[in-house]
Amino acid sequence: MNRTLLVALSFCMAIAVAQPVVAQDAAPDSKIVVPMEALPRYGSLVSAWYKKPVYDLNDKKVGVITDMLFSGGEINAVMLDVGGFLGIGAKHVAIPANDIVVTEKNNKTWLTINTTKAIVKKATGYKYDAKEHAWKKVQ
Amino acid sequence: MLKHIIVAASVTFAAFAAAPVCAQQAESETIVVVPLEKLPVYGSVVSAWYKQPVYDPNEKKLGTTADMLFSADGSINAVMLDVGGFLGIGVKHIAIPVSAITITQKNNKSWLTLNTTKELLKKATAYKFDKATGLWDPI
Repeated sequence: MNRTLLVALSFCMAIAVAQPVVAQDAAPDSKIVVPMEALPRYGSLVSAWYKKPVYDLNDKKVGVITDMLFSGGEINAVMLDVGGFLGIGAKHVAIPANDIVVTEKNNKTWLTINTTKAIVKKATGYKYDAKEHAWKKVQ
Repeated sequence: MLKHIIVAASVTFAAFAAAPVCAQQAESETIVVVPLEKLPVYGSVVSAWYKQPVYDPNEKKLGTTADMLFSADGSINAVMLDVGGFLGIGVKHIAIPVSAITITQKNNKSWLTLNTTKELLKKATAYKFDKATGLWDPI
């Protein structure tokens, strides 16, 4: 039985090599995931963003990425702790993911955002609610 | 002066709403980013996925997420999973389509599930992170 399944899976993999492969079977229990044989095209990595500093155009640190929000697999916002930059304890602001530019500096990923202290200071602050697993506006 | 910049930024936002916004060198002075006043709709947060354990449907740990790949438009398309411990070997990273991992909750904490088998993980293509290029390469 197991061998039959594997043969069936290999066949599926051969015809669907470019797409995420989810093996289908009659029973819902047997929707078994096969790891990818090739990586999809990608522009960046979460590991290069998560908990990483973001700088302004003058190489001054604006803040640190503390989280990224995604919907349907699409990252649509980055939560940035700008507290240090503003000289206060902690303040998280939300930045559209597209507004952070990835480059390299000294062979390492370098994230930049074109903003100002005044704008960040005025911006809406958010706080993570661990119970609800959600970011909430700070009133 | 500041008001001017904000107005310019809003216009830029409107024009680039659907496309990834990359600050161009020539115009970088005027594309000033204003943090979001409202969060976009999101289904999950990277902090609930990154460096978190992933279990099979029988609640046996398969591995830990080590990275997430995303394309230039911000779509997460693969999750790199370290399954070495589960297989009884040092480290082995495999790639899983992000849609194949299910997020639920258990004891008020996020719980990631992947329906796969040890045999499939054993046979799967392994990847290694190349620090010099910042890319995941098949081994």
